[in-house]
Amino acid sequence: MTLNIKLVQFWHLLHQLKTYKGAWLNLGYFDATTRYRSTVLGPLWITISLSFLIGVLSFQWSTIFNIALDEYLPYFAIGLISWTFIAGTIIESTDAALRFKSLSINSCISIFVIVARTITKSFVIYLHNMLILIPIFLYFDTSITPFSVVLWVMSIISISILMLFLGALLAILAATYTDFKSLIESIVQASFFITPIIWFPNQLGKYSFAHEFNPFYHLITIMRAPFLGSEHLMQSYLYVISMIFLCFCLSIIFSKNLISYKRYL
Amino acid sequence: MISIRKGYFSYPPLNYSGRSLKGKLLRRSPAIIPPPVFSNLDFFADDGEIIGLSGHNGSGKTTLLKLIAGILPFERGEISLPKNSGCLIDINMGIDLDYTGWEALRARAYTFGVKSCDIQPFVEKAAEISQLGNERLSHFVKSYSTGMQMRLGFSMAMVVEFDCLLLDEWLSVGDADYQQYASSLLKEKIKQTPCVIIASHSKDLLDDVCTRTVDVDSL
Repeated sequence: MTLNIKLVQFWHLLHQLKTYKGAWLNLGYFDATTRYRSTVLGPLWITISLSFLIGVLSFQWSTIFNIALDEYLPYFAIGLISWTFIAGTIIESTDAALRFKSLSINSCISIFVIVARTITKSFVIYLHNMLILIPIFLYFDTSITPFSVVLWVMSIISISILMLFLGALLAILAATYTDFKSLIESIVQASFFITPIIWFPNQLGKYSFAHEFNPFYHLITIMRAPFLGSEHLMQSYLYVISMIFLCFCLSIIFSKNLISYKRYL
Repeated sequence: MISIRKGYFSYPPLNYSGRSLKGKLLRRSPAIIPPPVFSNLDFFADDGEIIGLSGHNGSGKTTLLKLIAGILPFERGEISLPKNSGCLIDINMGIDLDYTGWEALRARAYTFGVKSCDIQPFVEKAAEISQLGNERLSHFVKSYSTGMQMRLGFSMAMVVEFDCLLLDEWLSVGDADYQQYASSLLKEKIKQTPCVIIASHSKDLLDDVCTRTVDVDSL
């Protein structure tokens, strides 16, 4: 298949994001809220359970690592909330084609629309979780400047674009190979412990260079930097942009598979 | 309207080892590759035609509908398909049982790609066709009987306009009164749609409704 045909196919799939804008935006929001609507607090239940976890673990680990709580708590809270967004999006995207099987096999809706729906869902939950940061920032007097907001918006846009292409590739692989979903879940789970969320990057000492090879480190860094700053922000953005470019190219190369995965459902 | 020459389509391996990453990497047991569903398909349809598809179970009627709708891709062939075709194979597609009836109507409008400004008229028209009433539509879909869920799905399918309507079996929903109403609506829809393809096992229905019938077994 020539590159021209691949590009046309790819563009056709991507263009559906505009046609079905209402589907991925509104249904993603529905997905995040409907599950909890018969409860008093709605999706805030997720926020409450996460804030409880952050409170307890911050106290425990700041003691174990002998780090001041006012330094550890904002660092861990932002890291964990960002991780929940990134990991949730990856795992849900991987499962997206199978979870929305009825929609996939009975309509022409492309895998990008379905993955965008899961990104919207994760983002709505992420926004709820961000509420946890308000009392933390107020208590520890963390300054939020307009530049922080710009950096935060940039990080969300970058990660959403990356997740769109990466999620589509993972979703078609999971639809094709039954054990792929379990593999991704295991990788994501293990990555939590090798990514500096609980601990600080410099705690690895002479092995700190290992972070360079951990894509999750760069994703977490660009999400943390707007609030806490980072010396390696530019470097991490370079990595993230490279990952976006790589996934974008792979999506074009496998554009035929982004359509034909439906044969496996 | 529809032109398919030498169309080729096959399903992927059917056994577990053909779908397992471990099986693929270790190549322990060979994947069972099914024969192609269509290896040299020629199929044409013009505006104004109502084509009936007949054939045994597994002959490929539903697959052909999905191929024409563009849901499944042909692997080879010279293919020209309608841009706006509606495939009504599962009329309850994508309806979350945790939605209320109103939300399900809105959700379906979104999945049909209805523009924001047209959502409200779509929802109101579908609600009117469903004849479920405002109160019932405010309840969760999971509280509906199967018949009521079918009415909801049917009403949504009737609102959208397609260049080509693809039906897997005649839609028969609800109680006796509603069935009659639904049948007349569907006949009206078929009249208004430029090209209609119906897959069915009922020879009488195909003879009654269609302008010509195609035996999928012979394709």
